[in-house]
This record gives sequence, C-alpha cells and structure tokens, in this order.
Amino acid sequence: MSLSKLRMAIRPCLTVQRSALIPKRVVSSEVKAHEEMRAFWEKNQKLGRPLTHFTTYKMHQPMLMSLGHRITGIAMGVAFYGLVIGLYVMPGDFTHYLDLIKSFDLPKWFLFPAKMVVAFPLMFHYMNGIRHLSWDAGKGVRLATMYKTGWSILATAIVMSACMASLAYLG
Amino acid sequence: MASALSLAKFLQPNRGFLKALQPLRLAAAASTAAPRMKTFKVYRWDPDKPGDKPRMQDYQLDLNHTGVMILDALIKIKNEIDPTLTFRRSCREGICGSCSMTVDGVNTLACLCKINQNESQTTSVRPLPHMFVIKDLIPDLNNFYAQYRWIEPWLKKKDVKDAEMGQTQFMQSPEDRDKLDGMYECILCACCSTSCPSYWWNGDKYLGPAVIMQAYRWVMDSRDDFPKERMDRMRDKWMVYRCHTIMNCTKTCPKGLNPGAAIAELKKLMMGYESKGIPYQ
Amino acid sequence: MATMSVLRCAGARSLSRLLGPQLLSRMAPIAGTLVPKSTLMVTQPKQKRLYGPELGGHSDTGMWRNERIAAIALIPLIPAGILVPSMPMDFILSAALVLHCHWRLSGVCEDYIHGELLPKIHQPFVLVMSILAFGSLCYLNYSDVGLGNAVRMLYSEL
Repeated sequence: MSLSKLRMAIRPCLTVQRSALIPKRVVSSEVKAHEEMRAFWEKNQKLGRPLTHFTTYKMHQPMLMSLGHRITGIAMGVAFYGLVIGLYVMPGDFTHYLDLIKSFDLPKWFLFPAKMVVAFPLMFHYMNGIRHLSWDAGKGVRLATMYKTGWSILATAIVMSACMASLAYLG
Repeated sequence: MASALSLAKFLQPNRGFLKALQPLRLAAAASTAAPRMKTFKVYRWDPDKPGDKPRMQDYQLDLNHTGVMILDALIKIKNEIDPTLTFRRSCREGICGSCSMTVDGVNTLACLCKINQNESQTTSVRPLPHMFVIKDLIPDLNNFYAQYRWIEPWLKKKDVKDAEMGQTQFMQSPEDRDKLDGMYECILCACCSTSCPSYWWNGDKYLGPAVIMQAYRWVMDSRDDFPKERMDRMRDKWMVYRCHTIMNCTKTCPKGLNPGAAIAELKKLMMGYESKGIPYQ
Repeated sequence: MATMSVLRCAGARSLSRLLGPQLLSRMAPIAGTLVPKSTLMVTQPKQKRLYGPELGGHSDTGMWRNERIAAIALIPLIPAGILVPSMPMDFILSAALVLHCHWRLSGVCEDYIHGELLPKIHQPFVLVMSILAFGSLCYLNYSDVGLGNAVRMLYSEL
C-alpha cells in the first residue's frame, strides 16, 4: 500500500505541463505572482492593517475634468433613462407635459440659466468625450496639452450651453 | 604684456576659494538669524502598540537648520526629535524609488520634493494612498511587486537556448532603441499606480500604470520575440481596460514620465494598430 | 510507517531532491521531519475570488472597440439629430445612445460594485433598464414627437 502511495506521489512531478511556445520558466513565475498576490490580501486582512487616505489627494484640472466627465455621464444616463421610461409609463404624451411646464409661466431670468444648467452636462460630456477618443488614438497625451485642451473644453461647453439656451429667443 | 596679464590674474581674488566658503557663510548667517519654525504633520501608526489608531503627529523644525528636501526634514525629525518615526529611504537622489510618499496631497519622492519654505503653512506627509500600512510611512508594496512579476519583465527569445544566452549580442537599431525612451527610466516607485483611482478601487485585478507601462516597454522592445503573447495575457477586462485615462499617473510621476500615454499606446497595439513609443510628460 | 522505512532505505536526501518540496509537504503527515516549515504550497487560486487576480478571463478587446465605435458614431449623430430631426435619424440616435449608456453604466457599476452578490444584481438590472429605455424611445419616436423634436421643442418653445 505504501509503494502505490509513493508511486502516486512521484507521478505529478514527472509530468509537468509546459506551453509549447513559451519558455518553461514563464509557467512558474505566473503561479508565483498569483501566490504572492493571494498571500498579500490574506496577510493584510488577517493583520487588520489600516488603509491609507485617498480623500486628501490634491485635486488638479485633469482629475477634475475626468471626475466631471464621469459625474455628468452618470447623471445624464440616469436622468435620460428615467425621463424616457417615465414618459412612456405616465399618461399623456410629450406635448402634454411641455404645455404643463409652459403653463407655470416661469420667468425668463429663471428659464435661461435653468436651460443652460440642463444643457451644460451634455455639452461638457460631448466635448470631453471627443478628447477622450483622441487620447485613445494617442493624440494630445502630453500633460501641458491636457491642461490647455481641458480649459478650452470648459469654455466651449459654457458657450455652447448658452447657445442652446438662447435658441428660444432667436425666433 | 603676458607678465602684466599673469600679474592681474595673481592679484584677482581666488574665486574657487570664495565659492568653497559660501556654505560656511550661509550657515553662519543662518545660525545668527531668527529661527523659521515650520510644522510638519506626519502620519503615524504603530502595529506593535495594541489599539493604536492612525493619527497625524506634529513636528516643529527650524528651516534654517534643515536641508532642502522633505527627506532631509524626515531624517532630521528621526535624528533629533522622534527616533521612532519610520520611513523607507536609500539613495537620497531620486533613483532608487524607496522614499515615495504623499506630500501635501501629491505622490512624490521625498528626496526630490522641496520643502515649501513658507513657515506659516503646515506640510502634511502621508504614506501612499489606498495602501495597507506596515508602519508609519511604509506601505505594503508586495501586491505591486507581484503584479510586476506577473508581466514577466525580462527578455524572451524564441530560438535561443538557455545555454546560448550571453554568447552574442542581440542587435537593435537606434530607431528601435528610441522607442524605449520615456519607459526604461521608470524606477518603480509606485507613485503613479497609487495615484490612480482605478487602482484604488480595483488594485487586486487592475495592474496599474507603472506595471502596464513596463508591459508596453517589453512589447515595444524589438529584441523580444513574444509581443503578441505578452499582450494576449493582458486582454481581460480588468488588467488594462480599467484605465479610464484619468491621467493622475502622468501628473504625479516624480521622474517626469508619461504612463498614461504608454497605456493609450498599448490599447492601440492591442486593437491591432501601430505604435511608435510615447512622448515625455 | 512502511513509507518511512522505504524512504530511509532509498536514501532520504536524494529522494527529497527528486520529489521536491511540494510533494513532501503533501506527504507531511507521513514524512513530516523531511519538510521545511516555511515551504510555500503551490495551490491554484480560486476563480472569481473577492480579492485577487481573475484567472483565464476572456478577451475584452472586442467590447472596448465596440464602445469606441458607439462613441465615435455619437459625435455626428447628436448634432444631426437635434438640428435635422427625422424618424430614421431618431431611431439611429436612440440605438446609439442606449448602447453607449448601457455599456458605460455597466462599466461604472463594475468599477465600484464588488463582492459576491451585488454584481449579480446590478448586471441584469442595468440590462433591463436599457431594454425598457430603448422600448420607451421607440414609442417616443413612433407614436409621439420623436427624440430630436422633443429636444428642439424643449429648447425653442419653453
């Protein structure tokens, strides 16, 4: 019985799988890396070490633009889904609700900034989205260029929101 | 004429001697000047003290008698005020990557970060963000190193046997060598990876800017024979594609490198487009 | 017991070199004295664990490319849909918008929501919301004013 146990114990070490193309030391380093990662999480959670701050990290323009891109994206996504599904679910069509808002007779000094505030996320996300796609193509990734394009996107988005909001007064 | 010139040279004050005297003159001025006391708030946590909670401890230093860099301040605190303050350091010249920490909310090397000379402003010194703390300013970087090991950062040749390694040079043109510029200079200080919000939330599965830039460095190395296999190992949705081009990495790199650009180029390569290397910051 | 005697006969040192530390530690209850205590056992990490790398994930390059295509498509579609509204334009714009919203909202949820149970909830939830939104948009385009006209009316008549 002990001899068969020995045979079973020896067999695995004689039949190690190797990938045909990749040199043999690659296999052991991948396993070693996974072991180290696993040991890292288990050890730190077992020891209960504290996690350091990240809320005190200093904000800068590229980080704020990226945060703005994410926040406007989520806000618009949720609002868009909510509005269109709500429009389907509620009785009455789009014109009915538009007339309802018109009946409130909201003053111009409120409507113009309100329309700017609603349009700004779309304009900002749209312009910054174009910049994101240019980064994906490898263009404009220098830090100085990012600062310049960031300020110009912010300015353009404000101007475009103002244009959208003034559509009502162009006749 | 020549003798007049040599006489004039002899009579001129020896500028080298005067230059050597300058630090002594400054020090003399400093010792007589009024002390410029600055407060440093340093993160402290002792694992050996049961029930100890992380806290910020204040230290007052006279800037007239402190070196220029944050590391000088930390060493002075450890030497003269509090020997229990613990931090990593080695080369003191920004090449080893040991002293990476967060100074006033920015990830940088303490030996390269100048002390803000305005003594009315407090400078805060914390360990790298969203990392487990071993003690005081020392984070556990084992996950970071394991991720670096995972990408296999060494030359892999197809037709060269192990025994033949080192027999001949692997030739590389100057153009191919230029493609490695901006990436081989990385000292693996972990400033960029720990500044990345994606690495904060998904550090177990996302490789982080430093490691991805090194992966791209090895893919771009013309002497390496396995670029496709290297990229295929990283194609899942976590390892590279958690990067959302936030660009905190490029902003914070203390060596002036551009990991964000490297990740963008790697994504291009993974899609099947060409890449020619990256610009510096 | 018998194994111990076999090992002693075979020459324990040479056999330990042949077997390797992994196998010896697996045999630990039988031949415990031969195993160094600090041996790292080489075990396969669990799939889909809470913390740690994911093994053998499928390629996401196709999804990344599709996301970029949807985003690039939206660049001309949004101004065209608002400035030159028409029924086919409304449908194309709705499809591209819902695709972009669905993929990016799923990605955002993936970034922030971790664990065993919560991802199983948010993935189908976002899908259901996207399908409902697209259905509502089809209704808006077919039976109501249409998406492009709705935005125009909101900004020109209000």
